[in-house]
Amino acid sequence: MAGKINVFNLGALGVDLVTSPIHMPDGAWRLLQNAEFSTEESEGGVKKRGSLTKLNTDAAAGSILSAVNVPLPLSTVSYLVVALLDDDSGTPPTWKRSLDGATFTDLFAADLPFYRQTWEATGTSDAYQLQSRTINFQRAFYYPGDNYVRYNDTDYTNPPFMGSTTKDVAYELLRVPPNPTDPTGAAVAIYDMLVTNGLIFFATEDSGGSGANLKGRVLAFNPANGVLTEIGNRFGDGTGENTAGFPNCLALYQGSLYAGTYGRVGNNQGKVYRIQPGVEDTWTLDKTLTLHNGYVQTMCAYQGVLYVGSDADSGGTAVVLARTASGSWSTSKTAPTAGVGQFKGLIVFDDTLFVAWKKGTELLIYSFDGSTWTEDLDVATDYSFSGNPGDPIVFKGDLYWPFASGDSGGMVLKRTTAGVWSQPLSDEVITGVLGIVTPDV
Amino acid sequence: MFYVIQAGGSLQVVTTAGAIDQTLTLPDDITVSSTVRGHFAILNQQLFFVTAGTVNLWISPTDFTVRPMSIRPPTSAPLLAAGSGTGITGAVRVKVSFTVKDENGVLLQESPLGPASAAVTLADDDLSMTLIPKSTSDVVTGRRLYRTLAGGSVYFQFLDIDDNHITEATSGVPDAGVELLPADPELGNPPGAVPGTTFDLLVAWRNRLWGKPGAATLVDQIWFCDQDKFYAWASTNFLLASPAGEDGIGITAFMPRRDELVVAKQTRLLKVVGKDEDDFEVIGVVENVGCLAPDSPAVIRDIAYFLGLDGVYSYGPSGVQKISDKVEPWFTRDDTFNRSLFPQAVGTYNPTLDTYDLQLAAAGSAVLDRWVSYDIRRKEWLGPHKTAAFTPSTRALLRNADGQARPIMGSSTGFLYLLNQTGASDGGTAIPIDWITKHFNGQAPDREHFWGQATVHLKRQGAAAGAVTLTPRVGSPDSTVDGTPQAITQRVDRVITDRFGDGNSGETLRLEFTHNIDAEDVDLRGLELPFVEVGRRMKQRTGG
Repeated sequence: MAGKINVFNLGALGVDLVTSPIHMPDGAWRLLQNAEFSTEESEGGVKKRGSLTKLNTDAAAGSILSAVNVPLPLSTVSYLVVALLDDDSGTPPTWKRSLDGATFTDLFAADLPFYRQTWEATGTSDAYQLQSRTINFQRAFYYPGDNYVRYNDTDYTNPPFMGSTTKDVAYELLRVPPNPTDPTGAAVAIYDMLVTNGLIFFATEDSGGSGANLKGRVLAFNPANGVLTEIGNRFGDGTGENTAGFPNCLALYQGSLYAGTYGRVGNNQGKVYRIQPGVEDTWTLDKTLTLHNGYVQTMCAYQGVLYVGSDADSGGTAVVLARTASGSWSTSKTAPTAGVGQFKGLIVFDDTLFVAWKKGTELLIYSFDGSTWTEDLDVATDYSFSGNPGDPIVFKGDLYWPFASGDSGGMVLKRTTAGVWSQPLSDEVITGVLGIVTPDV
Repeated sequence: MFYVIQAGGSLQVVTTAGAIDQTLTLPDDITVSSTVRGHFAILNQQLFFVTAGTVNLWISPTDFTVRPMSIRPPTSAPLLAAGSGTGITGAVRVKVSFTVKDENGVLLQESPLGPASAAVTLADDDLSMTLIPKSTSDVVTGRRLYRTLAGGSVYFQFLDIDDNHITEATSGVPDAGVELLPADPELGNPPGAVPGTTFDLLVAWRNRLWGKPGAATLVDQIWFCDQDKFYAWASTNFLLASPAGEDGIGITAFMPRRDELVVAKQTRLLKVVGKDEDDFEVIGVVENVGCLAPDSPAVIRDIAYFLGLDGVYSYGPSGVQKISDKVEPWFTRDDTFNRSLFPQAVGTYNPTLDTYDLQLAAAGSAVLDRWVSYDIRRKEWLGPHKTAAFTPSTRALLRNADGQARPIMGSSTGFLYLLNQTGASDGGTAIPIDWITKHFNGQAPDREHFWGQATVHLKRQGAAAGAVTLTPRVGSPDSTVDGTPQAITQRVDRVITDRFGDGNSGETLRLEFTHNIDAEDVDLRGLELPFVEVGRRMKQRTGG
């Protein structure tokens, strides 16, 4: 008797190792090595399994024992950004950015809006024009817009604002309101900012004031809900206001917020105030600097001590002061020579404290290990540059330091933990503002 | 999106494009094993790694700093005295914790509180503190100080010292100025805070981390942290997978399901139910069924699949079911797999094929060089599979940059391999198939059959395609003699074979398809097997 077995269910039954040979149904298999029941127009049949293709071209450090998917942005895909200065050359880029800290590309307003500041020399020391830190917080980049340097228009038609960017899209978060003590005036500039406990604290110069007692405020901005809060009493020449200038730089130390003042005019004599935000309502004067030795340019906590860098007028010498936890002050570093100069950009990098010192054509960078100050770099000699140092930043494990010189160009220097300095960016008209942008990827 | 891998003795970050982004720097005196498989877990956008590190590790996915998951608390208290300022009246005590904050001042981690200081009685003085303890850990960035209200016994945070250097501080913060809420009562360290006692297992469930201690005396304990606080493990935050001490292994696996955390031991399943520490409880599920391999579970559509002592089981809404009955010899005999390595098995979900894949070691092998697949929809098994391109070392389910599932296999040489790829080639190495059918008998196993020219339906592979080798076996179901192999070309979609049996008849026909040509697919669609019954042939009379 003739017959025929039609087997068209090869992809319906899998391996069967337990049924006896005479009981197994058609379509069952004893072995299906490297087979799959594909669904790509192959349903009902059996197909060779898919390929195994290498994902990584470079081998990992050894046998891969476990792996996990992390559904979060890869933060190492972040960029160092350098704010540019309008050099009146038409429609130039607004920023430069670099993924590796070595190769920079231009960003235009469409990429990262940033109202560029036209260089307007005031005829006085321009040091203050380079001051403003930025913030990289919760994957957003916060920066002072427009008047990240001092706004020189007398009518203050464009008050400073704070911008933010994520996913390469920039927003204006906040336009700084006028100082209530001079409501017809306007905020002039944002000079420093830092973040703690989810709040962005920033210091402003406001219109008004007299002599060195220029008006200013410290404000706290909550980026989560947009609430703006004034911290403590104001700075200026009014009753109950803190004197010796507007808050020029900020630091956190011992659970308190510290503000150093800058009066711009008169003999240099700044003050350091402190406050516990949320606990205290007024700033407490913590230190009055020595006359002529200066206004406060930079502050940073290091190894349990607060360091404060000053500028000096022709009658004094710039210094770095140290405040201990018990409240005693001492001079940690004195500038090599007296006269108009400044310390700038205190920062902790590689467990070492760094600061720049500039006076005339002299421009040095010092390092401090907690006991000894050492000249780390002679910028003027090694790079033939004596412009103004800005605030440095740590990016991907290296220290980057901006230097600006009005519209005559600037540069960014890089220092590795091995102590090697290099110049990844040169001959650029920059403001001295650096930042880190981490787009969501 | 990115991946973190344990490779050799390192933890490395890999981009979705496959670039080794960086090798993570481990804290001083902490190492990662190059032989013990570690376990990752993610909670509150933070990554954790246990089992293979010297201690439980916490990996920040923002700056990739690797820190111990737990900071050891201070062992001493500060010395208190009346300061020269004003502010506080009454007797107060102080406790200190160690903290880790990021560069923006956000608290990331806090140790348990240290011992209480001796009391000091103040009369509108500020509080002077000396001998404030410092941490020996290089990851600690500061100290958090708590004090009692005047005459009180509950501790409230009143000062953060954002460094690990100074040992003196003063505070005039009055009672009204301290934090409103008392010290977090959940602060505490789990096993693994000191070297040698890491978690053996760690998963995230109900916004908490759940861990099994590796210490021999704690293997039946289920520890859990405070909600969203990976560093807060109260000393009371553990449950017992009873009976305790029934073996030296204790808990073998966690399987987080929607409303329960399945806790497996080798010979029983239990589950944790409840919403918080007030009502978490352990309930028995089944006895004499357990999980043998900690990395074998995969929870797919709320059903947990895992390797037990005698096969593969599932546990879901329908209860516990054994799903490997058809392939039981794979798991109960030693001729297919090296069963001594079953505890090393790794199971994952393959969404492309909707299969539960289980990586195992071949008989006689010391590495995970085979895998089998359970087709969930059809409830059928395929395999064992293998590759000649590399030696597999693990497998995992990752996602690509667009969030789509990406099952992978890890290799002993440090490469990740993507599954389900096109090209019919394991990176230039042929994928060897070996498919063996049943013994066809035409529903008459007692009859001799002449097996005629069969028709093999395949998907045409192109004008230059090679051939599949078809090896028939005609005879009794127990015959071990193969017939002459035939080449089945893949250049057409329907091939008529030669007759089978080399001129001889036999009760049954078994076909074996093999193919080992690189970059050439095989897609077998059907078989038509004509035969002629030639009658019964007496082989053995009864009683003979």
